[in-house]
Amino acid sequence: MRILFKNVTLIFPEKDLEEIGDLYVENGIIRDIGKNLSLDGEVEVIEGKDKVLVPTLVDMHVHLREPGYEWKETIETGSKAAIAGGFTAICCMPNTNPPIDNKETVRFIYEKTNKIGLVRIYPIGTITKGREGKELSEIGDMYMAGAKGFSDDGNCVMNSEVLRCALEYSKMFDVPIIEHPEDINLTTEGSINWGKISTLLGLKGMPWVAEASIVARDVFLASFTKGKLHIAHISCWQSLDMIKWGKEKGVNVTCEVTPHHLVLTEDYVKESLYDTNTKMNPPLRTKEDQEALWEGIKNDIIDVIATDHAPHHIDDKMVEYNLAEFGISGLETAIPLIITYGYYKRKIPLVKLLKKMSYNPAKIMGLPYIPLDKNVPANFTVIDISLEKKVEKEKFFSKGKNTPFDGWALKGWPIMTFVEGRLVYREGKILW
Amino acid sequence: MYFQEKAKIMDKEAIKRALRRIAHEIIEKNKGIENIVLVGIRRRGVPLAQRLQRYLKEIEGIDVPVGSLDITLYRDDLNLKLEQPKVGKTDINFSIENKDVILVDDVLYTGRTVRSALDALMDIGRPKTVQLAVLIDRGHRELPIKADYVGKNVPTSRKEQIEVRLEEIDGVDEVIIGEWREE
Amino acid sequence: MWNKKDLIGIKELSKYEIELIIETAVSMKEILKRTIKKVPTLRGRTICTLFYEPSTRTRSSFELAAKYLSADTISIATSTSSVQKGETLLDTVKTIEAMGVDLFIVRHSASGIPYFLAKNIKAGVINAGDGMHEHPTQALLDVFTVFEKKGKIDGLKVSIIGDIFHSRVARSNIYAWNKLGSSVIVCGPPTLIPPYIEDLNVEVTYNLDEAIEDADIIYVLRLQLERQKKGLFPTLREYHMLFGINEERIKKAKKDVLVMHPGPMNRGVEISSEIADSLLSVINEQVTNGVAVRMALLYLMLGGKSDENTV
Repeated sequence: MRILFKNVTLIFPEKDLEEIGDLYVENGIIRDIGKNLSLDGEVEVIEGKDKVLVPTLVDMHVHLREPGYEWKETIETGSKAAIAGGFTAICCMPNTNPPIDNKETVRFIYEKTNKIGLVRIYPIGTITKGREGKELSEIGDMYMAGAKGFSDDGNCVMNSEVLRCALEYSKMFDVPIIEHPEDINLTTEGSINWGKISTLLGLKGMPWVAEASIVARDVFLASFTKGKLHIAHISCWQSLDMIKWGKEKGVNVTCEVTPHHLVLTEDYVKESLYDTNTKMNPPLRTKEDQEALWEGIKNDIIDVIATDHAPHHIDDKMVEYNLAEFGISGLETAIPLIITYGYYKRKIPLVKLLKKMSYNPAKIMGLPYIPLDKNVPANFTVIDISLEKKVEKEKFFSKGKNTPFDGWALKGWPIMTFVEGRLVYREGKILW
Repeated sequence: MYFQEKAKIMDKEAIKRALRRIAHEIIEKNKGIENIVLVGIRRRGVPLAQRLQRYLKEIEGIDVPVGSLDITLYRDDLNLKLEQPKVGKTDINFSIENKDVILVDDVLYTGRTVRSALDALMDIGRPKTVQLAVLIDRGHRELPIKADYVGKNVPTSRKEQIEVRLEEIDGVDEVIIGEWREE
Repeated sequence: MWNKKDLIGIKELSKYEIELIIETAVSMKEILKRTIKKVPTLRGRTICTLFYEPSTRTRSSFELAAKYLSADTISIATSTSSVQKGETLLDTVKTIEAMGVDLFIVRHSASGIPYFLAKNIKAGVINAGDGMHEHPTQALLDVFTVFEKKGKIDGLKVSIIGDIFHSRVARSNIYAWNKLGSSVIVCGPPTLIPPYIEDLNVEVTYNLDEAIEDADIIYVLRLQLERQKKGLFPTLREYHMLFGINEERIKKAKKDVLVMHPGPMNRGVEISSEIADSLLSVINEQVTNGVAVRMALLYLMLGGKSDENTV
């Protein structure tokens, strides 16, 4: 296999650099990078600066549902969705059944992943046994088995002492504690953001203070313990302000935002007439929050864009709004959403956006990061930023068809995904 | 579509003469008007009934009660009409029990309106008799219904249309025969 | 004229449509005064009342309205259907629709359910109250009652007192009065006032006297007693002290004020018996008018062309 990428856009997130150039892949290895490369013999040439090559795209927040909820997603369907979405590695959240709160389940994920062999999957273990928020899980044992971070995602660690211990204890492995920030006493029975739209639609609200108050507490705990804290899916400007404060004070805190919080607001719940695909946790917030999140992308208070891919069966969504499950299927729309709304609409440089989906999450999670470089395995994605097409949920590789973006015309789609030397996805087809 | 007038078949005077004659016939047939009540079918039957009341008073010196009947809720063609008719108010604030009810309408055509009106009337009470007075009978009955008092018999084709215009509603008293035509 | 398959909220109605319903209801009310309260208008049409929440008056009101217009009715309440066998809502409704129902009248505790059904079935849907969202026929009968009593529905000052937060009646009334050109003030403890309610073009006050003063209509909401258990206010006693409508408080109001309540009442909590049974109260008229307004709606929604005949 010989492919020559000519006059394409090369992204070097680790160097904050993007440039036009050539890149030559032979048998899965990047053999050359430079200008005006020319080759003899039979070689496939892919040309044009609208072809963007970005290395090691990582989605550090994915729900794969296996073991336990295989009708929603499996490691195999999730793997396919990941490479179709352009990701070379993903981290899977432990809210499975049984949860990933022990070494055996961590190993189960690795074994299954290696058998499927499409995308790299790194498990995240639970912070507490059974995600109950009471006693610490065997963080060390799971770490040594390959868990890359710890989270009770879906549940907030409500007990401050438990979280303090987690932040202290995890220091010896230098792994992040990933918090789902939500004071559940403030969000009881809530379905959408607490505010104008919840009043209009008569739905119980989840106020921003439920999120921001926990973010504040967690930033203080991280400051106090010197632990490594990562805040998942922030959605309101108040959380962002707290994280900014922490970063300015030197607290070891990072955070992520989802594409859907960047693209949608609570108004969409009303416009879609209670479409349950707009129900997510944290809820879609206001225009003001959305603007602040984009600002956080620009000024790097936000480190990571992660999908919070939460596939659900249609039966979980074709029900009363307040009974519907939270979350959307995000892997296969993340890149085009970010290119369309970040690069085209907000004129944010590609390297800034894509760094938050590659180098940054890889560093936070301590994952192997393979840049665009000579004599390394091809571990990159080709995004055609001029390709425009409609989201078709029925064509998702994921079992979860729960997307609010069905039918949206988006621009900038992954067309090739190389994982560790192998071309595993190309233009709608899984190749391996 | 537009309405092409072909001929004026009654003018103000002709309408007046016809109604006065009907008033006389009502008195003659019922041997007085002590037991008579008038009920106009909305909309143009109502002013006609009120005029009949005036003529009856001129002749007999008695005020007979007048009411209006809305038959929308009794129609058999609600499903067929392009536009849903607005429901009007039935306003009969006297008892029709054992009365001789004169039902008044402008044009008698298929008989379906009168059928609806009879049903509507029966839901309100049990009259002794119901008699029908119309200004125009244009034929083409689809039901076994016959008018007791007719202002004018006008033979028509089904394509033709009779328009009764009354001062109270249309600002002018006349009856026109015409046809709806394509542009 | 009328061209809606469904009636889900007052929010979606135009001023003209509200007035058309009221106008039609005037004619319908005449039928209610007859000895024979039945017209053949909706013969052969089938209406299903589907109630996932207990209700006496709304359901009977709809059923009588349908019967007076000669429609056939079936009624399904949670206790007598397969709802309890774990069947999904949509399956239940589709099953009944397949039996030939033309119109569903739905009450459900989940906001938005009428939209969900309207999107997924062919038959029409009337919202008989969904969660905390809307209860359009209640607002329509309220407007009709005021129209009868005051002879007008614009330029009035309407005070809505009580648990605005959880009330679909309040929301529908706010939309209705705003559209008709009357002003609305809402009053209750801050824990029972929803966020951003001012954006619906209403005034907010926590002071009952302020709300009552100059009001043409005092609209008292039912207080769900379980709200107290959730800690939204301390005791029923204190609630009555601060927000209960009684003879003492109403002295501040206009002489010709109307007192309304959607029922069922908690006498002695949000309203005293003396006021509920006084001449100011139109609570019983509201009930009668509910039937007339619902007849008007059923006529407008089902009395016209049926879909099969649509050109």
